[in-house]
Amino acid sequence: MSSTESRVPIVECVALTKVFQDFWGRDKVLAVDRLDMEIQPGEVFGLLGPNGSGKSTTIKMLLGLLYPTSGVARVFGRPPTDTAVKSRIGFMPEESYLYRYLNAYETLDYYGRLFKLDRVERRRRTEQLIEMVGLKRAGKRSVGTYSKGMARRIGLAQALINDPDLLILDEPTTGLDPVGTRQIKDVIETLGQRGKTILLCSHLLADVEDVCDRVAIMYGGRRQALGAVAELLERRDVTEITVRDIDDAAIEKVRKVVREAGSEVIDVHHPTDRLEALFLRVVTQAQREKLQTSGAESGRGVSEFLGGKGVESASLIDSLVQAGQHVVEAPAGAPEAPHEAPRVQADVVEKLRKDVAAPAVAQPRTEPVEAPIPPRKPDKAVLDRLLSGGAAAGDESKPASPPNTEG
Amino acid sequence: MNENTFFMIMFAFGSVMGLITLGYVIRQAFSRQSGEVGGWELRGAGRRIGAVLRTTLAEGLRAKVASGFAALILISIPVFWLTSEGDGTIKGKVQMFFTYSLGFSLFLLAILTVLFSCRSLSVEIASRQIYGIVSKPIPRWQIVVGKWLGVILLDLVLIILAGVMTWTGTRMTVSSFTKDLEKELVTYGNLTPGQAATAVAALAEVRGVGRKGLESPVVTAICEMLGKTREEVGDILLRLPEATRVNLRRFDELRRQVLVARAMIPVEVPDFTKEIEEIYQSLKNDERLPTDWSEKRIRDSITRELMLSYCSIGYAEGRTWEIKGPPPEEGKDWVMSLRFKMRAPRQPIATQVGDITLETDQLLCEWALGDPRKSNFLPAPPGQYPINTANEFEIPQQGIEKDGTILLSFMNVDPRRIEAIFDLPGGALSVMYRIGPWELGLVQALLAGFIPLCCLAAFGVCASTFLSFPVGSLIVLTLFVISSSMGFVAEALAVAKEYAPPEHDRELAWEVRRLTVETMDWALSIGDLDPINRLMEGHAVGWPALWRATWKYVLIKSSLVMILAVMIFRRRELAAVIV
Repeated sequence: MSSTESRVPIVECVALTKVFQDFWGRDKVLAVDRLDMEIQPGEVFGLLGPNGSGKSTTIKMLLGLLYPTSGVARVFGRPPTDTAVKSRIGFMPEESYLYRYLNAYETLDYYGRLFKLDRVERRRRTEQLIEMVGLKRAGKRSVGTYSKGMARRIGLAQALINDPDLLILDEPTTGLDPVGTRQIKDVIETLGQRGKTILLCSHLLADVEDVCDRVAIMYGGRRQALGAVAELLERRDVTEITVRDIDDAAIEKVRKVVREAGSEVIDVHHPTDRLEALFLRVVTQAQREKLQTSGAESGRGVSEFLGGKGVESASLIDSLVQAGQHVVEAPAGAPEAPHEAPRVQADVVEKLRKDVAAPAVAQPRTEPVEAPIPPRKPDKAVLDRLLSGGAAAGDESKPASPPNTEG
Repeated sequence: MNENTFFMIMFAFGSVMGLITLGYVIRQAFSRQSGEVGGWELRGAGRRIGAVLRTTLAEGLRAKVASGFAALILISIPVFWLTSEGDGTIKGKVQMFFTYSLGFSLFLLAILTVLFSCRSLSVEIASRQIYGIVSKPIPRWQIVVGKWLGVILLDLVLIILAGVMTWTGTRMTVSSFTKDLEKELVTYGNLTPGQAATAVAALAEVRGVGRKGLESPVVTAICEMLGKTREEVGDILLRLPEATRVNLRRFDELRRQVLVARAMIPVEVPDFTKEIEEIYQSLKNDERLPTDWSEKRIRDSITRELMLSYCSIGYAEGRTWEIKGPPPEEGKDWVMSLRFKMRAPRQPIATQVGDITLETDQLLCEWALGDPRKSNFLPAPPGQYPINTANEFEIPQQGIEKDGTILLSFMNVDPRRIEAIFDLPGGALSVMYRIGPWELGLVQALLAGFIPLCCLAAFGVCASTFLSFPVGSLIVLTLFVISSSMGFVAEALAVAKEYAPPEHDRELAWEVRRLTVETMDWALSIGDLDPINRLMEGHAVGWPALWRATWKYVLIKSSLVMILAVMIFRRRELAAVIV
């Protein structure tokens, strides 16, 4: 997460409240209830909650589509209904509400005109964005003929046409295939790295977890929790060690070392690949073989104009594959572990590394033809399995309390 | 329940409904919730409005509804061209074709305008496309104006299409007539093809006042072009079929009275201010003024009586009017006509007077041009002229003073003692003269038809800012129907306005009624130029009239409606959920 000291928040909500009324003006539904929230520059912020929790209403107030009943919402320090701030915002709605009779090029050109982009710049950005979202082949078709996923992609492209400082994404992965989903996450991560502020609203927890720096969880119109993702999810009382090709004897040695350190081994298992990674691998292979498709193709990285000074726009799929190969080819002790282990002494871990390294090298390697792509962040499925598997271990199954939990 | 009570109940009901509607609109416009913040952002407004306009136009041209209407226009005009017959003459055919093609096209465009403008914003709001627009840096007023201009531009495109097709159809009709005439001159008149072509070309050179028989200017022109005597030309023409001979005269009328752009100078009504004052003072001195009437009402009543008296010409009475027109010109295309429309307080019945049969629905009158004391005095023999229809005859050049002054005399000599009434304020007596080619008149007629569409589009876009598509289109369609039948409604309103109240009715009631009627009259009207009827008579709308109508209906009325639309739209919560 970026440093937030002495910075003006990009988004600020103070006691923000929205009550929907009936035709006669009587208060009927309290959609958002005294919401306090700040989003700092460069932050990827997730707004979570079940259906009807007030996420979309909050976003609509931040876009000036709804007016607060009470409280204050500010974007870039100004009211969200101020048209001047909208030139710095990109918004991807929960569904792509597009003009059916325009094609992808015309759609992006139209939105580009609203930002007063000149013709050359509009063309440049349109071309790059359409290539980025993989709609080059379908670009001349009217948007009305697009599948839902393709419409979502063009929805993403229109949100980026102005190279926004604040990107608001409302359920961005709804209707997307895993490739598209992965691409959206990739775009979010890349834009986050390029200093953009992103507000992501979703109820797909895995998506949010993968990309967000901080999250707020809403329920019943109220904010129930707020904090950094790592802090909220981290289990400080459990340490996970991943090693390559280890035999039972070595495992026993590990158990012994751990016992000597005053702790215990909760679970030993072989991690499985994620279905998302498998899917991406299959699709990538098909694309390499240039199989025909009438739908969206794989996108090409992130457009250069999106605040990307000196950032290469490598192919998304290529980058994913490269990322996988990089991990496979890395030495066993590569610093990939996302969680540090504050409770286990560093020397114990170091001793384990030494003990395990020798048999691992001596054993013949049985790598798969295509190396699995390990998760870049803690795999939630693994965490869940650990949690359920360690239930017998008493209080170790309870997650650590989040640092800023309410209600 | 007497009539006045019924009227007052209906009036009260209408007022309450109107107030409720007005209250709803004002509530939308001045909602207690906050609205859009920020200035008008005029810089770059053109580009953003242009973007909305382009998209709206693209929708119009690509959406099935609009393209369906365009297809209807494309199909219907050729059908009208094939089927229009009128009275069987070439003139009637062309006039009927105008009426059908332009009338139907403008009607279709009005319906399209209502549907398209009423869905412009409401459908985008309902389908949430508006989220993507309002979240961009475009002030909402620019969205509203862009939508309005988009609808207008779509209308303009389609009206040009209709205009081009009407022009093509008309020219094809004329061309087809002259080709047929050439063939008939060869077949029946025993002329060579070259002579026939020359004779037909002579029709474009006809000049002077139309007379019948061998003295006809048509015969004169053909004589000049073919180098034949009147008798020889008359012999050729007599061999032609009867319908063709009639069409020769009608073709000349068509060329000089229909396929031409003419200006109209109506006979002005004299200033009655002095007479009104005298009558009013006389009534006042005699203490005969109605006690419960306001001064305005009394003066209005006196004016009306004086006007009716001046416009009514009884048996053996006459009037002389002086009309100031342009100086006469020598060109072959120059022509000046007197156009008049009489009405009678009762229907004339056919009567035999001596050896003259006075026909039903006709009055026996005498017309004369010029000063009787001067040599250019041109009296016409008494003739019977139909009532309730427009009559037109050409004014010879010698009947016009060099400075363009025309002295026109009329005498009612009908022994049935029926008054001839000229509705002078309504332009029932006027002089028409050529100001340009027919194409000018067509363009002006199309523009005159375009003005109500602009006004209608403003109403539609305004309705779409706060009403759903079905409700908005129903309301605006009703407005269109009422404004289209404004003559009928105006009559009803006039009766209501002048309804003689019973004794207990006070002055206030009369004033309220007058105000209501005049307000409705103003609010419901979306155009008053009547372009199709004008085009049928070769009467150009005229740039001043177009400019006045543009001011009244586009720049003032439509702008007021658009300001209301912007106020509502700026305040509206576009993602609001009504629970």
